[in-house]
Amino acid sequence: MDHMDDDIMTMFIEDTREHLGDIEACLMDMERDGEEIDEEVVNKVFRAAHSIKGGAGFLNLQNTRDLGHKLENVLHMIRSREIAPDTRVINILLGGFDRLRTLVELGPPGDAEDISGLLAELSGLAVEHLPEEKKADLARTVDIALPNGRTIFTEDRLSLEQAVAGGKLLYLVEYDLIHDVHARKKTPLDIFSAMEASGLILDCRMDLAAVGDLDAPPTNSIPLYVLFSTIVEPDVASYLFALDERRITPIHVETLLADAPPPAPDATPQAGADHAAAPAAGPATAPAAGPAAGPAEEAGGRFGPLALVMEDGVARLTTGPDQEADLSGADLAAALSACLTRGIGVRLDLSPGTEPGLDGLVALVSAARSFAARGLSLAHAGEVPAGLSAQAARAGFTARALAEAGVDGRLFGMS
Amino acid sequence: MNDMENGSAAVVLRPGRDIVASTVEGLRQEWKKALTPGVAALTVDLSDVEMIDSVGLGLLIATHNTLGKVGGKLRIAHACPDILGLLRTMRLDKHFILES
Repeated sequence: MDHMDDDIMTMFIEDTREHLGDIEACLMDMERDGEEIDEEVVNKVFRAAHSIKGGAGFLNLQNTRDLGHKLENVLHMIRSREIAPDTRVINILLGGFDRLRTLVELGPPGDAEDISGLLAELSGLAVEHLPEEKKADLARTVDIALPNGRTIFTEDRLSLEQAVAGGKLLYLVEYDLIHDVHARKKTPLDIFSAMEASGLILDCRMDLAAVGDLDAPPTNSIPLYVLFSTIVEPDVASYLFALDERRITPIHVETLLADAPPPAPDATPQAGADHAAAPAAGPATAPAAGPAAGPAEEAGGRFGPLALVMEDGVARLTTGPDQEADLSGADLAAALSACLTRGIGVRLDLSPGTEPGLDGLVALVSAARSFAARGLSLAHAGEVPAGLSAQAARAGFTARALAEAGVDGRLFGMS
Repeated sequence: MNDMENGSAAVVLRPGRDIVASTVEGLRQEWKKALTPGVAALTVDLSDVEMIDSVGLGLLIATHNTLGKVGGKLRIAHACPDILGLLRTMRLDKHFILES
């Protein structure tokens, strides 16, 4: 859908301005409330960070996505009362959102900005407030190996737990940049853009020694390993990665964590390590995006204004007659993810004015592919909401482009 | 043209064109000549480079490996956002020094 990018970028910038319109006032309210948080205010700020992160992932704006993710982590911890929003915390968040706004306005050149200090500051804040058992998980590592036993990655337990939160799957993908990329007339950027649009790259490693030096004959192989989490099932992973199935190793995280040795008595976390605190980073654009489901979601009841009602083995996601345009993409993504994880089809019963925003549209595209891949239905119960189809048209969606992406245009009011 | 600035022990290379399969062999020969004994610091200035393909990445890694033998580091300057993002995603920022 490359030809849509300019329209989507414009829409993303407009959406971001809207999300961040009164963010400073919300943050000041949070500081005033202190430990007695107003969940509605915190959720609003959280949704802003989450939505911007999702859109940035779709547009491959790495700095924006990374900063949105770190802000989202801290806000999740405030929401779950692991961090009290005192003056210091709010000042860091104010600085973070200010930088986020600047990065979005810059567009792709924003990726050249050095934001490592800010990311480290947000990570440090999150790590500082982690419960003791989670801090211990940061210090405990697990080896991830190819089927032949060769260890490729060593990751901490917390990162792995977060990588598969919300029913996501973890893969160790083995590319050869010469045979699998260059010979197929693709560039490494093509490969990473496709991966980042459908999941999260946890780690990446190249076998530099295999390349030789300038005196060696031109190399015939450049091995590249990627640790990748996604909602995509193994049977469609081969298609997603454009690789033979033998080059894609599903990683069974539960087994790995169960087999991992207990922590050493003196194990201590690395202060300031650039690890994400809870929640997991969802796929940048996939419906599993967002924090681990809260108690209400686990019970299958509500996702923001969306109610999940089971009818004849199919989930009806409804905004109710009174909800007009208050559905966020994050809520829609979380609800669709929950249904996908449970293996149930979905009928969307949304009010006519529903506008899911760019991240909601992206979540629907990702969900449509995933539901289809698993043989599950995803359709509207009645008419497609006018607000949704109008937003899709504004974003440059067309029936043809959707068909090329393997998505039924009727989901967006296009046939 | 592959511009070169050669100080006593530091070299700056400016390929001035995309580093892709069709240009890599020529660049490889030029860079080998530039890496004379004693050169341990090399900067590849990516101004005017819009694309690096897999073979081009191989050239950068080979250059890094050559420098590594004499304890040197490869420095990348003026990479465009796409290339900078690619190098970071591939975790090559752990091996190369990336200048924004």
